[in-house]
Amino acid sequence: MTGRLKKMSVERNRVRAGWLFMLPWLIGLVSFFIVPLLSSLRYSFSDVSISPESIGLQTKFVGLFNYEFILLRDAVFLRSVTDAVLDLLYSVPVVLVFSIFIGLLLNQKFRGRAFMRAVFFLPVIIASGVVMKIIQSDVFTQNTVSEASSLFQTGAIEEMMTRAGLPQSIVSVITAVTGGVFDLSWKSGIQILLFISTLQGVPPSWYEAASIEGANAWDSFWKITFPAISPTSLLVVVYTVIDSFTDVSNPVMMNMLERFSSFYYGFASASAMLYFLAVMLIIGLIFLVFSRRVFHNA
Amino acid sequence: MMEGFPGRGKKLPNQSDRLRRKCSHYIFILFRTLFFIGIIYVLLFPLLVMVSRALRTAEDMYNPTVVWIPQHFTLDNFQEAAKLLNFSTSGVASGRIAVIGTILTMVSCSMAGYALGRFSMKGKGVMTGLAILTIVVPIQTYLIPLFFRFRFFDYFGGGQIISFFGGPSLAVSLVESELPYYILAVTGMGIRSGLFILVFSQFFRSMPKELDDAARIDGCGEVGTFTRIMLPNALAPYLVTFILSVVWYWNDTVYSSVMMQRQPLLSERLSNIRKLLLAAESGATRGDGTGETVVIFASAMLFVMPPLIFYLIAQKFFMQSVERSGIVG
Repeated sequence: MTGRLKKMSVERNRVRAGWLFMLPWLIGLVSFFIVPLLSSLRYSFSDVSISPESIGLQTKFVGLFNYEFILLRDAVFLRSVTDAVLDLLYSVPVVLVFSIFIGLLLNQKFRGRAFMRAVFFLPVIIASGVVMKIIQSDVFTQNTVSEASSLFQTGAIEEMMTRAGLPQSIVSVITAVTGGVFDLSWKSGIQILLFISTLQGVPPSWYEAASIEGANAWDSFWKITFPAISPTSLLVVVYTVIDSFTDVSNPVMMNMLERFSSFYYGFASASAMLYFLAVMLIIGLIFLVFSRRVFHNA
Repeated sequence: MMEGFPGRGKKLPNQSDRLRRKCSHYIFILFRTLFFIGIIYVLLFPLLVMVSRALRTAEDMYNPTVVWIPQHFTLDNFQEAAKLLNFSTSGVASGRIAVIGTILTMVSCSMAGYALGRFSMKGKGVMTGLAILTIVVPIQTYLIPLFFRFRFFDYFGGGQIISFFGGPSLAVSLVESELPYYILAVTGMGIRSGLFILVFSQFFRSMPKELDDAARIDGCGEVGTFTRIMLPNALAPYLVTFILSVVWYWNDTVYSSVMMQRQPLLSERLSNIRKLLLAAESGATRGDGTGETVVIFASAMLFVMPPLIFYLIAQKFFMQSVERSGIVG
């Protein structure tokens, strides 16, 4: 009896400790996320204008007008959201497999490993809009292009290869592949870093033991590496989904940010709310399907 | 190493087996090297363009024979760029925000992630969902309301309560200072903090359960278990957070465009580099734009170099420390 009571109080203490560990974040979450987001939600039901006399916004309640407009009369919104979802179906698996593959390669010991890791991290540093915009707008064209692969579709390299005597078909394949690999590595920098840090945590002794038991490389990948990185894979999938949805070159996001910056607050907030509802639904679905299959150190 | 487990337990490897394995090993290395060379070309291309243009004089931009290697090397572009960007002041401010913001982020996010990953309480699923939501919703969606939170900062609602009971309004403006960054970071709402909370939660979840029990038996409290048992083993997620967060703070233009309008940070200055060039006479007098181009690329270089150097140093530490740390997973 006393043992059970004691155990209960330990449990209760642990719950309290858990909330205490979360406390700073909870304060931030309410104060700097939920409250501002609720104002944004209010804007989505309002006609928003900037008040001329004081610093602030004037809102006039218009009910579901903004939502109605977006869902029924905006020709672009629904289609571009569907496009974004369909785009995920192939881009997420590709990014996942690619980043696991690169993570495994970069976890091996070879000369120049540190350099290669830095090369794969480069996109994370440069991909910040500012630098990329400078590179793209100044070198190749006068106007900015959103796709990273367009760096290589400038014709200069293509022309060089054609002049070297390569047939046109091979040249176009090479350019397409370069562009594809570039886009892929461009999108996978963070994912690769996450996998490397997980792979480094797998003790080498596990592989030694497996090899003594007669496992080959294929076996030990599926029996050791794969379970070890599966929690990270879930994280990577979720992050990739978010990253692709909130990428500024995504048509929906571009449209939304444009509306925000031109102060169409009502419309922008309403479309943001709808869009993030869709994203959360997809992520919830992913969690539902995968989180039970993820291996945790049991 | 992944490749070449000897098939011991089944039969002893003979001569031809060994030869075949050696061959496939070398073929693998060959392919890996070729693949990496391709990747280096693809990913270093933008950086090389930047370096090549930043190091040449304006007249080399005209010269069609100059593609990669400049005929007239110069470092003057960097001087001009540093002056335009106000590098010594804004760079230090950017760096300070990145480092302090990151350290505060590491503290708050590891605590929240530890709670989410290791304690079983009601509402944990909802809290994880909210953590994800904070990364899903871009800041722009609630940037203006957030700006007002700091423009009229009321101590997390405390000021409002006081003024409700007839007290004076305590709201202060924190805009134009670095405080909003630090307040957001210490409350786990810094740049993409949600991701770090998830990283920590995944990491702590996969630590062996026995660790808590052992710690408790040895008389460790909850705080002691966290700081003395968990933290020393969590170097990997801490370093990932450190690296990514510093880079993201450095690159951020969204916060800095509204919070630091009077003394713009480095990223903000770089994104307005054309205007700055026009304002400074030196750029405008060159007329045709080639002089601007080399200075713009030098500015981009100046902006990219600090995080790149930081990453190279951090990575060295990253590889050593993770390999040194004892029980993981």
